[in-house]
Amino acid sequence: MVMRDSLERYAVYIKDLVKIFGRDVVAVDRLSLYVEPGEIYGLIGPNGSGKTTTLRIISTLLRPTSGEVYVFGINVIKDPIRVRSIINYLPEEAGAYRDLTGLDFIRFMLSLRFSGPRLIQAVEEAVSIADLGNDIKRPVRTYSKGMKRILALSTVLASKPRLLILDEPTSGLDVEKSIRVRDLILRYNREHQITIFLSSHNMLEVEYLCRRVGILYKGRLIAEGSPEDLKRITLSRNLEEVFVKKVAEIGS
Amino acid sequence: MAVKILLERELKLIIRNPGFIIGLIFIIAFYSFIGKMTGYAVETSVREMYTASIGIINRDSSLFAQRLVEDLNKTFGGRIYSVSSVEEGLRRYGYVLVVPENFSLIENFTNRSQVYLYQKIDKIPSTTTLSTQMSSLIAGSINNIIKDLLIKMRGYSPEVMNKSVSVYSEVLFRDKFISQGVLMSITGFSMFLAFITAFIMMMVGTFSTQLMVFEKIEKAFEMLLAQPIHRRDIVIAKLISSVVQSLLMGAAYLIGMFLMFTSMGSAATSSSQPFSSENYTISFSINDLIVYTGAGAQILLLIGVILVLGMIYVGALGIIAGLLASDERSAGYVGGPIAFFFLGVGFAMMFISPPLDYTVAFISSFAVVPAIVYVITGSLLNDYMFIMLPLIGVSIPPIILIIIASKIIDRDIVVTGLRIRRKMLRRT
Ligand SMILES: Nc1ncnc2c1ncn2[C@@H]1O[C@H](COP(=O)(O)OP(=O)(O)OP(=O)(O)O)[C@@H](O)[C@H]1O
Ligand SMILES: [Mg+2]
Repeated sequence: MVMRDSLERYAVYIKDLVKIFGRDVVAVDRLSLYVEPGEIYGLIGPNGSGKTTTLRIISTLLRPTSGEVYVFGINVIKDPIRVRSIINYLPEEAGAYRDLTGLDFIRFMLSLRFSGPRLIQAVEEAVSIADLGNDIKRPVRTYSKGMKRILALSTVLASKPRLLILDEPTSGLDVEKSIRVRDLILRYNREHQITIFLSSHNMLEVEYLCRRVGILYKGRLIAEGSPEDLKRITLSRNLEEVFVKKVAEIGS
Repeated sequence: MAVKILLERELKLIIRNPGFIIGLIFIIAFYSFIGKMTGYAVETSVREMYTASIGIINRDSSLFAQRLVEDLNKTFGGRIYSVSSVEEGLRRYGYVLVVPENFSLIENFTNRSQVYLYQKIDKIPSTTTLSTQMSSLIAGSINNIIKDLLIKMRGYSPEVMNKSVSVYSEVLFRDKFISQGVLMSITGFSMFLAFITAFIMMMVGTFSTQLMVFEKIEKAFEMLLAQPIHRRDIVIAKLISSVVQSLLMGAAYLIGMFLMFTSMGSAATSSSQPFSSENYTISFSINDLIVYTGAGAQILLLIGVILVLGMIYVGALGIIAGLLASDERSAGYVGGPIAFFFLGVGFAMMFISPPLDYTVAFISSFAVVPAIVYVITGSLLNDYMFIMLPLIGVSIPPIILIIIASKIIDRDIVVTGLRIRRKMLRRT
């Protein structure tokens, strides 16, 4: 067990995390990992391996069955509101209120965090990130899937939390938008020292963005390290190969 | 062909939803229970009427009046007893008939000739306990007897027998004498209010469930839950919003009804039937309510407070349903029975007379509608316990439910949704 004050040195500190749904669905199984401040950490794994569940627990949306989770030294279970004030979370399926305009949605979400000039500034920033042109003044119900995704993403980025949790940030986006979003993530990570914990199915993206990667399989961490290390150890040319090899190795 | 496939899917969805099945069972069970209760209440009160003993005070010493009393006694199977005062008679028999002095001076028989009937009520009046049936039974009997007597004793010919005696009824409601007409009008109006309340409450439940479920459907909920706010604020905002929504709808509904009855009323007046519109009855009842209850116009304020508390109550129930439901469909199935419960209580209040008892007043007020009836009764009797206790009673469930909703919104279930599995159902 790490000492209390040293916990603050981790953006995310997870120890022996278990999450069981109902009686016997083990979504996360004795997961331990940490994320250092300022880094981009990527969680990858097959469908149903527990990525979303893990991110939801860190975001205070679900309570763990057992184990410990700290965000910058703050206990996620005991002090959820303090955790929420330093994080923001982009859910797997983030939508927006259908009858609000994009702009109103941004303003609504950000006004839960900021007020006064800081709010105005944050809203402006989100609008410029979203880059939706005149569509920002149209109701969300007229948006395409990708537009909604960008809208939600711009809102969480503009809130500049210390830790940003992104569940498949580029899912549903076209190639150009995906590239733009990756660059935004990198930029905010560097310019504003935002720690980023993301999950993805896109190995290219993970390789490009993440300093460290964890591979989840049936709720367990089966490999972890920088993309380079993982490739070297498994004698793979890219992360996709690492993934396939690791999963096959454990599966058999 | 496509319709058949689509319909099949729809029906399967309905039938496979445990919420729907539970809702069905609940509604059937609850309403048959209410039916049994009201059936029993009606039966009891009818039986009571036909077996009731009646005290009589005969202030007319003439032979005619004596024969009248004797014959009446025969008609009522010997259940008529002479008493010395109204109070004593009411205490012993529940009904007292007073034949006034000079009643038998037949020349004075006008269309307004009256006997006086007093009835004692120790429960909250309902359409069954407070019926005009006893007065009409007595009036009918007396008129028949008088007809006979006039023929036998005075030699009147049946053709001239167009005079009749009316019965003026007063009710001793616990310790206060009130004209039966006024009490009937107030009771009827309480029932009307009870129904309106139940109806408006039904709307709140639907609105708040919708607000909560739509939050989930629109998929902004998870993001909202990760924001640095107290989640109970979400509950409270939705609650207030659904109450306001329903108040507006309720007001529109009342105004619409009022306009409808006013137009009907003016039509009725122009066809020279002045007092036949329901609008007249309603404003008349409000007037009775204000004039005869001790509280004056404040009674309307009290009823308004109960209405709003009831709305918060059902609103909170709806929010809990919305929080637990994993989809809109199941939320609807939970909301339905909740609404029907309060409507059912409103319906039952028409037939079941709850006792004038503080504990019952307090506890039954958890179901909202009885609180209205008790508060009206309390101000009618100037008994403030019957105002305070229902008000407290009606406040407790909403407070508890808001606390529960605030706890639920902090739990996993809000994200994962409640899944009632068939296995779980079978086990219980
Ligand atoms: N609300 C729930 N109730 C029951 N089981 C659940 C629930 N949510 C998730 N699970 C289960 O937990 C496991 C992990 O799910 P999770 O959504 O975390 O996976 P994931 O890695 O995010 O998958 P994907 O890549 O498809 O998004 C799965 O087996 C899933 O069936
Ligand atoms: Mg997922």
